[in-house]
Amino acid sequence: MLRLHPFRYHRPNTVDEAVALLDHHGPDAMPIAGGTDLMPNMKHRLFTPGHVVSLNGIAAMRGIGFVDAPHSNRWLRIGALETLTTVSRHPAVRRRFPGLADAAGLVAGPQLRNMGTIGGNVCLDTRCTYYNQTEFWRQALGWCLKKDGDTCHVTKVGKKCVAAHSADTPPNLIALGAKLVLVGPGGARQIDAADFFVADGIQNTRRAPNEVLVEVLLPVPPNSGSMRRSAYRKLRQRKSIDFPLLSVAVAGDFDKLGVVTRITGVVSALGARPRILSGWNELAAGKRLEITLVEQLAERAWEQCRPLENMIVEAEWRRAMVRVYVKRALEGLVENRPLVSSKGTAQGG
Amino acid sequence: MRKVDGLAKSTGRARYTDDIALPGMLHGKILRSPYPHARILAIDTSRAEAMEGVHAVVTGRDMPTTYGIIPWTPDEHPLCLDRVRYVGDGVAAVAAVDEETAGAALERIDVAYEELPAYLDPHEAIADDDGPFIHEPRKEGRNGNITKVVKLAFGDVEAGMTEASDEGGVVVEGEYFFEGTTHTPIEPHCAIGLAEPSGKLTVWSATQVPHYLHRELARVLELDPAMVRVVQPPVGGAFGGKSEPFDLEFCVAKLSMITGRPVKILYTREEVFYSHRGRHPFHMRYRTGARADGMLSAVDAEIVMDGGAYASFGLVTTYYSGQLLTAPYQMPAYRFHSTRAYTNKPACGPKRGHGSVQPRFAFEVQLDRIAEALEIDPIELRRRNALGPGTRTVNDLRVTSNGFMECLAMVEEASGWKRKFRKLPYGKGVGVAGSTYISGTNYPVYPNEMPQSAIQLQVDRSGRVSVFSGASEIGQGVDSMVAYVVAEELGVPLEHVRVFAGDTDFTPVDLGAYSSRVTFMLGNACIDAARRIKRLVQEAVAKEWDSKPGSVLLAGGLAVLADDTATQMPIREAFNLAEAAFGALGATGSYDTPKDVHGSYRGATIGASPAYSFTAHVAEVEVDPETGFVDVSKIWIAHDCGRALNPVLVEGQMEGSAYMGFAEAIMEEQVFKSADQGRAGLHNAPSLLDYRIPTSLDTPALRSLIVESIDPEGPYGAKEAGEGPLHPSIPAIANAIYDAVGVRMNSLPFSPPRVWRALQAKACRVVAAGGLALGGLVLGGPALAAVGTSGPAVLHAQDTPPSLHPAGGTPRDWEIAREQVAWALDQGLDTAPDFGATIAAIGERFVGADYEPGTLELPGPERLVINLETLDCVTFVETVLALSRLVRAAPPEVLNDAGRFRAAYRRELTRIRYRGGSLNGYASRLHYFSEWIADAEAKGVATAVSQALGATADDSPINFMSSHPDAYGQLADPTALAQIAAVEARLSKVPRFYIPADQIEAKASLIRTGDVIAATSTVPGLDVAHTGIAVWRDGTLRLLHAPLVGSHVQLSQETIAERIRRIGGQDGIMVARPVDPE
Repeated sequence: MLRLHPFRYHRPNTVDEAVALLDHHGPDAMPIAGGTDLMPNMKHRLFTPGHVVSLNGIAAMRGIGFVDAPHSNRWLRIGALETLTTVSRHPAVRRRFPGLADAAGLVAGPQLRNMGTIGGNVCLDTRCTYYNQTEFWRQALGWCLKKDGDTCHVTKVGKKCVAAHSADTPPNLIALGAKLVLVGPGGARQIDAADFFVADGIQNTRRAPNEVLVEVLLPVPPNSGSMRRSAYRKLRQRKSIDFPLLSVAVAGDFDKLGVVTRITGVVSALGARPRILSGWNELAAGKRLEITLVEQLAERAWEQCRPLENMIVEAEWRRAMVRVYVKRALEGLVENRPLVSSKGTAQGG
Repeated sequence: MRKVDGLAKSTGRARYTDDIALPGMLHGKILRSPYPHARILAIDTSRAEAMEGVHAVVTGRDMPTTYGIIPWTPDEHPLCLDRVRYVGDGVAAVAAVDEETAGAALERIDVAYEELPAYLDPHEAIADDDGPFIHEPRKEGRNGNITKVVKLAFGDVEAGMTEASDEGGVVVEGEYFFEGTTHTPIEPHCAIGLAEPSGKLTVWSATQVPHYLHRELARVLELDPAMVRVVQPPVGGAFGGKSEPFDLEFCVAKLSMITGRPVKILYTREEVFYSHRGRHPFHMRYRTGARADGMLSAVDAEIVMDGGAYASFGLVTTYYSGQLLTAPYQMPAYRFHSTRAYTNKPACGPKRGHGSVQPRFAFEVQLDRIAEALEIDPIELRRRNALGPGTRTVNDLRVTSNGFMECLAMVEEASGWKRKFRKLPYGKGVGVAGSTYISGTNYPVYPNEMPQSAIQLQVDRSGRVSVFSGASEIGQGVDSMVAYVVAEELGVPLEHVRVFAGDTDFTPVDLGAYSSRVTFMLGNACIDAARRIKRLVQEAVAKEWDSKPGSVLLAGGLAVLADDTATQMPIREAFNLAEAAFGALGATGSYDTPKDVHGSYRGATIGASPAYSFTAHVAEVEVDPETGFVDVSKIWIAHDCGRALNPVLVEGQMEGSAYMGFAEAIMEEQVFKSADQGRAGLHNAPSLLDYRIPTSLDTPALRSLIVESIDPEGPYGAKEAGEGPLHPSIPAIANAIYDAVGVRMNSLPFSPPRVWRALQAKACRVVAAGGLALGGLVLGGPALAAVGTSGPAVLHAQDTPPSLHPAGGTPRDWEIAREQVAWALDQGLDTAPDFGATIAAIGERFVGADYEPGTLELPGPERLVINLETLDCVTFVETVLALSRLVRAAPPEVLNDAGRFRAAYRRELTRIRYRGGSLNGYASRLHYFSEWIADAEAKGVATAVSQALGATADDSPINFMSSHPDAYGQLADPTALAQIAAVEARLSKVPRFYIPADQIEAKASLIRTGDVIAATSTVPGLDVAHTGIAVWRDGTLRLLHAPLVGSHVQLSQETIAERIRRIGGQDGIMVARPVDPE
């Protein structure tokens, strides 16, 4: 079988200890939580850290609950160590952020969701058909830009890695206006989920190697008049296990008459960074989400998305599916409840 | 009845090969080639050997004996000698203290390669006569890229085709592609070698053929076979993927012989994808003739198989690709021509339904198309053609029991077929398919006169019976099956039967778990052995009771007197009486196949079996037209297994088979990177994340319906159940997709992008047909003649007698066609730079041919009419175009072979004349020439250029045919009329573009010789009135055509513009430029 390389395993009990270990060992250390992404990647020799710092002993990184936010608003705080299963089944998440509940509930399969954490999902490594392969395979290929080589086999030209952001939860966090809390040697900082990702497939987040993502903060809309709805749709060939070939998260605020006051769409799994769709508020604000508008929004999305051959499923079909999945996600706003049942069984997606 | 190994497997106590750890055991790894095709110039293992913890390194030189599972095609070495043939080919192996060290040592083996050109496409491999070939040709001058060619013919195929087309039937042609797939057993291959100082070698292996492995180990390692022992621990699935020796088995043996320590190698999943011998990709072309009543008259198949780097079972696969198609349907004439090519990809071999799953897919789709064309329910069509029991197939295979009719009846009833077929809403559909499969091959892979299967029983004084079985338990339940037989025959409780299996040191030979042979063959051997003991027990007990042995029953743990059932004794006492009378109780039993079950022609034995199973499936699907996702909601599986010895296990096999077929239909595909993707021949996705098999959420509801035909020769009447029920899943799903959304999926898998593309293409055809140009009509019949050349008068069908010309063509037709082609080749028109010139030259050769209208309008079902003797304006254009395309594109071997030439011409003509190139009834003919042009564009036959030339839109509706139904004999049929009306409605939705008469002169310079010209009609509801071919002659643009006025093919004296202006009823032209097929 594929074997892991030798490494030293650390299990600190506090965030500060974890940060200190990461800082001390520098690039030779990596944090691990559920391990569902890192372990296979280590077996593929994509990462060979000498020190693996487990976050699982850090109690402060657990818990889901409401906390106070500035300006007498509130946040739903999700500890980064909470598993995807827990997030997908949590009543507050399901009721207020059905899109996020679905995204968490549609990651991989049940066993992996029991291990994988929301923090790990946010920090998931990008994926590409030329990258997520064994060492033998990559050597036979002649390596690639993201790891050990200098050629991008997707674009054939250029020095930019186009491996795809493939995590399910971040597009929803972006659409819902979430903030991420990172702790590094200099203390804690907050960053908008929308600003967390960069368009570089080699390293697509702004998390420094010695920083730990400790929690996710979701703004809770005030209970006055307007209503926030969200939905998530994921394109994949099987109803379980698979990473997205395309993912669409939408969130919108509606007034009592169902008129859109603000709407956000995020499309991902195409390039290194989730794409926040432009021009949506201009089209939608002040209107009801009726079929003509849904189609206009889907068209705008389609115009902005151009998948590359970074996955083994053809890009042209994935692109055509942008229109369909955006439409279906917008239709999901009407329902505004998760597709995934509270027992965790996913139907469709 | 429980499965004897069920509890151990479900509670984790079963010890698979990788669970075995021997004292001092070393771990091995195999170095694999990163190149698809290369010479090995040098291998230096010294750096690896010098590493601490490395005990031995071997290369091809250490095991230079060639082997191959089929003795006639040995072409492999345990490790490559001087050439690597695919990415993943084994080059060297290391034994070290642990896997990590072994892996590190591989990085220190230095191999110098010289890359060779790689063949990835089997057609290219076959076409290349120069090499360097993938293997040395077995005979000088041969193409070393070909493993095997099989051509067999039974009955007169061409006569059968002619019969079909002459007598109101149909000849359906189709091309199909079956993508390669892997077996996906959960357990990867694993082996342990242990060489002892005595010289004895033991190999534990996850194999399904311990006996063949035993033989090859001894041969390749040059050991006395009596000093070799093969042990087969419980196997975690095989499906054909473990049915021949693999590199790891030789390597663990050799490394153990060198080091004196046990050595284990466990494949990674990636290595399974390289070594596995997956299902062959098949490129298939079928021509199937059926009479008007649906009875098959002839089947003609041409198959190219992508074999990968080595022969494996390929010789057998090549035969199976044709031999196993001849049931469950009668076919009076059958021909197949199969070629297996080597390519620089992992070798292909047997997978569940070896060699017959691919043709079955194509053939059952063909049947669906025939049923549609003849308007016969597809189940009824299959019923009419059912072969029946107690007969011989066209290729002389003996068929005994046959429950196919019952299978059809059961799926028809259970699925609610009659309520659903062609009646479900758009997006939902049902499809049916049938199949047959062998219950074991009649002959072993190496010729010998010994039994195919044998077993040994031993009875203890306690009443315990031990069974020593050479068969391979790979999950299918063979260990349980023999226990059931023993319990049945000797009357002992199941718990008192112990099965010891899969160890060549203490079990008799069984050839292995492949070809669905084990229940039939070992079951019979087991009955044979048990009855020997039973006779002794009966005799001893009868003596005790002073009765006849035949009156002694053994059942339920007792011996019972049949005449007086109160007289009984525990079975243990009965055994003891027998032992006292006859000595220790033991027996062997064996089975060999009957030899009169096949013909005597060369190859007749391959495909022969002592019995055949039969299956029918109905699949129900829901297609998402927006995405292409096919959701298979349910499959009804009816399978004739002879007798179900344990119905639960039979159902397990049926469900597992249907699942596997469904998986191949919808999802599985083994594809490889090309050179411009970084590395030619590199497996696209050698992992179970990216090589997708369906999860439980994706799997349809599976309903198993067991049919018991009670085979006269099977054990208690049993036949196979492990492979047959896979076959129909795939075509049943394909046919259901057609029922749901009207697209024919002829390439596997029916993945969402493929289905989506097919739906897009269909939508484009509809749009193009309406959207392009102009209009006119093209009735090949009387209406055309009248309308086309002399204005809007319409001749009525009854005014003109139907053509006397036979639909399939006369000898004179074929003579003309061959002459035309021969002349064109002689003129060098096949390579002339301008395709238009070729068309015009061939067209001019028809000048003087008689004009005859209505040659296509024959009574009865639509047939492809071959008529080069008498032509009308449309058949002239079609005939010239078909011949021209053949001249440009057909290879010499086709042009030089009368049969193949005819087939190729029919194909071309069908492609041109019918919508989408498929003949499916009267309405599938492109009656309206505007649609003819649009469809030609969709098919790549011609490009509609009118619009590019600056055309005018005409959006008047098309409805001439439906508003003049009496002009067309076929429109007496309300279904045909409705279909034509539907076509018209579709065409009317989009404007047509034409060049008005007054602009033709101005645009003439843009029209080229060879362009197809359609004169648009002023008749309401009609698009085109006349057709011909443009020819520049003496500086003017003329029309080469078959007009009514003039009565023969001619080149007009006036220009096209003058002609259109002169003739009433024509107001412009549409122009289509034929595409050079070369």
